[in-house]
Amino acid sequence: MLQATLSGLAVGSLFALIAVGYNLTYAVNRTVNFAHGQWVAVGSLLAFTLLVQWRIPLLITFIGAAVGMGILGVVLERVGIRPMRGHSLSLGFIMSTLAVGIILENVALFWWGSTALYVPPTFGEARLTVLGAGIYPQEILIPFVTTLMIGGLSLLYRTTRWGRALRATAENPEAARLMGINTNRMVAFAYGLGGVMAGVAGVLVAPLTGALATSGGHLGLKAFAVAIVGGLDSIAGTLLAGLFLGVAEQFGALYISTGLRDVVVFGIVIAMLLIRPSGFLGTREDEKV
Amino acid sequence: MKRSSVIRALPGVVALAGLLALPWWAQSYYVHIVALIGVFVVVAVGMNILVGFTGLVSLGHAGLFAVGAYTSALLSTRAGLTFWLSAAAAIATASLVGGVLALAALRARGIYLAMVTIAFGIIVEQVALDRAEFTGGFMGVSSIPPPSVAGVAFPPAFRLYLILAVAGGSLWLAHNLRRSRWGRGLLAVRENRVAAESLGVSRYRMESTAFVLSAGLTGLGGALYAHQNAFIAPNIFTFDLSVLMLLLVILGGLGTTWGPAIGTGVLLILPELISGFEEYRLITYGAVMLACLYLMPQGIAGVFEGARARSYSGEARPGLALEGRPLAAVLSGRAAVDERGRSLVRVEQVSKAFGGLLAVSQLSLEIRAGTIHSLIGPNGAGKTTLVNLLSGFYRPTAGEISFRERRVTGWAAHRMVGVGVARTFQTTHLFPRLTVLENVLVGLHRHLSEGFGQALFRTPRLRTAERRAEAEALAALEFVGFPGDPREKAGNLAFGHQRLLEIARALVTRPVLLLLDEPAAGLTSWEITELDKLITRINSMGVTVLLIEHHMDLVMGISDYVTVLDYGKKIAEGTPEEVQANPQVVEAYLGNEA
Repeated sequence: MLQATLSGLAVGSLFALIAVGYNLTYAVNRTVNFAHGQWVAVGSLLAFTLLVQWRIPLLITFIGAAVGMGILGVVLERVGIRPMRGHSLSLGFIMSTLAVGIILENVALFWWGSTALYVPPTFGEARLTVLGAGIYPQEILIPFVTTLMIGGLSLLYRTTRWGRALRATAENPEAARLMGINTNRMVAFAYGLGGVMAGVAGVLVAPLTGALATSGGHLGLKAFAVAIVGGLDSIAGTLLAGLFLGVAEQFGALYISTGLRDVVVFGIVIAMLLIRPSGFLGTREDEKV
Repeated sequence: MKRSSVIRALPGVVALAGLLALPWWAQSYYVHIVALIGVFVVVAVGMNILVGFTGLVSLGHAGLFAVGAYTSALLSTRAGLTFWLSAAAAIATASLVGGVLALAALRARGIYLAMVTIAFGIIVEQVALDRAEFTGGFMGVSSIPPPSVAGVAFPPAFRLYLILAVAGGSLWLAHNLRRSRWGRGLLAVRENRVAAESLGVSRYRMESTAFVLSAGLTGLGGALYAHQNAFIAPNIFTFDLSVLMLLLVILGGLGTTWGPAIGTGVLLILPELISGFEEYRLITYGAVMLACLYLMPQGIAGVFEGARARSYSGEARPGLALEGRPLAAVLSGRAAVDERGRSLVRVEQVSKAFGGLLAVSQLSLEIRAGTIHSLIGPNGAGKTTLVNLLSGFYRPTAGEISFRERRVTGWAAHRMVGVGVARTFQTTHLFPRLTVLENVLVGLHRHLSEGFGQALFRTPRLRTAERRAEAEALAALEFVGFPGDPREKAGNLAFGHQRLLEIARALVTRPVLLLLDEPAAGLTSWEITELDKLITRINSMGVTVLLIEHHMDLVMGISDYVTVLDYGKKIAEGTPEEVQANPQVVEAYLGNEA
């Protein structure tokens, strides 16, 4: 049980890191990247190329994947988000990002192939023993990096000019525009940051599952579940929900059935939306006439 | 006329003949492909009713498809049911599941709805995989028998005919639905929820109806698929399939009649035309989807339908189907004239707070039947808040509201319409992509009692009712003096005409009380004179009018009573003369000159 809790926390913090990408963009213009999972998958493939093929050190690999996916995030905003504003279907962005995701995934399939590529964990595969439960070094690295990334993000939000502009745009785009903030650029920036999160998460996930182009959909959907349960507009809620769902999934696998672990996670999502649609820490939005 | 319609029908007839002859000349593989296209047309029609008509996006329809397929497959292989019974069970089960799903999904819309449907799809797929003793696990269910009659299995040709008939039938049903009050209600909710509710169309009921119907059709599609393919397995019913289903209607044209058939045809034939396509299939789908969103948001069918302006039946003429009764008699059916002078609305100690702000504070007000009662006051005085309270859009924080001696505090907007409260909006709320006539017809929603079944099959009774409704709608447009073409899209109208349309639309709900929120704002002085006459005409039918207006000439000339609000409180009340003489009113408007 302790075992399940520990690995649940590790996996959960990974999903939280991915899910923060949804928070970032939802905050600025109420859209999310439905191909965010594909971004993570390509991040993990980049990790394979950099780390295994080119033998580049881990830190630079992290930076490389983050920058690469960040740039792709900015590109996505231009091709998938901005043109969809004012589309007759108000949720046009769902379709456009899904479409971009499909294209990205299949391009990645051509490039990297359809077998999972092995990426060795940086700190070896020897298990450490903590309180009688085995834990892999990678499972310690994940929460560590997640904490670092989210800490850095909140620092950026609070102390920098860009962070302030980002918060202003999230709060009231109209007013932000009047104050001379280029809100389009802010949305692109948020998508870039989302891409950075995905890139870092990709490097972290690669040793766990192997780098594989088609693994994105599943990762993205699960992280989306995390963001919804936590509250789409709350990063703290997402962190909480990531840990909660990570542990719930492991317990589900342990006590119910390995095959039904996803059912546990997505069942919780549906229950959450029935009971409290705004999630753990999200704010309720009332519709005004 | 006759000849041209024959010519127009020709391509359709040729295509149908080609399809029917297909089993006699094409390889069985192609017969199978066409049958599958038919299956997915049924699904796409279901998808179109949801996504196209109501604007809700589902990413879990593969799950409903799976529910239908498994229900029918398991019932026929394990319980030995005939196709007809198992398919009926598949429709029922999928509809039921869709209904339950709608409960969760409609609690929160937008992105959340996408999430619920995604979660549902994944759960279905995983359960089908995991519960092997029940579903056959990853091996799936095989040897699913084809449809049969009296124990004789259908040969492939008959299976194809059956599927084509079902596909054609579902296209026809959706087309009928679109033209009925249900279809208009669905579109109205999509176009403008607030306006729809103000006309008595319940958003929740509309959307859940669409969800269930869509689920039922998708379930039927699943059953047809299972028996056509003879084999099903969980790896068919993936998230990718849900995306494909969505793509079918986006490409074909959301909300159009033929869109589902066109989109399905194109997307499913495409892979057959290009050899070695399999490798590029998904990339192509992605590219098609993007191109579609960019270049033709209305889809292929939308491009065609936009090209030829759609005309309404056009047979209806005002006066004709009203059977000689004057419009006033029809419209004022509910405003009992003998009530005149008695209390119609009683607002008692009502407050409405937004956070810490009291928009309306302990307000008491009485509106007498048959009067024109005006509400004036500076901006932010709480006038529109009061209209929103009276029409059921806001629930009071404290206090009671009664209407015709009946307590209506906290009633939803569509219920208030039911008892006879109609309204217009400060900023006009129309259904921009519906025609003028359709806009007014939405107002008749509650007065058309024809049920869902009648709408689907467009029974003669429904046609008669629809014709009468059209006549009434046209008469209402004439009554308000709408000068334009009723077939014009409402979004293209000039501002003044939008106002008139909105009033006509509110009138056909046959209100006892009509709330007009700044109807003169933005109108020219000539238009205001006409509005003045119109309000008098409306009032003389027995309809009580509550008028919010800044235009003092209009207010003082037309009103029986005037109530003055300031900072959410009533500061004066009386006849126009009394109010004009009140020093407090002068102060509120002009400031204290001391």
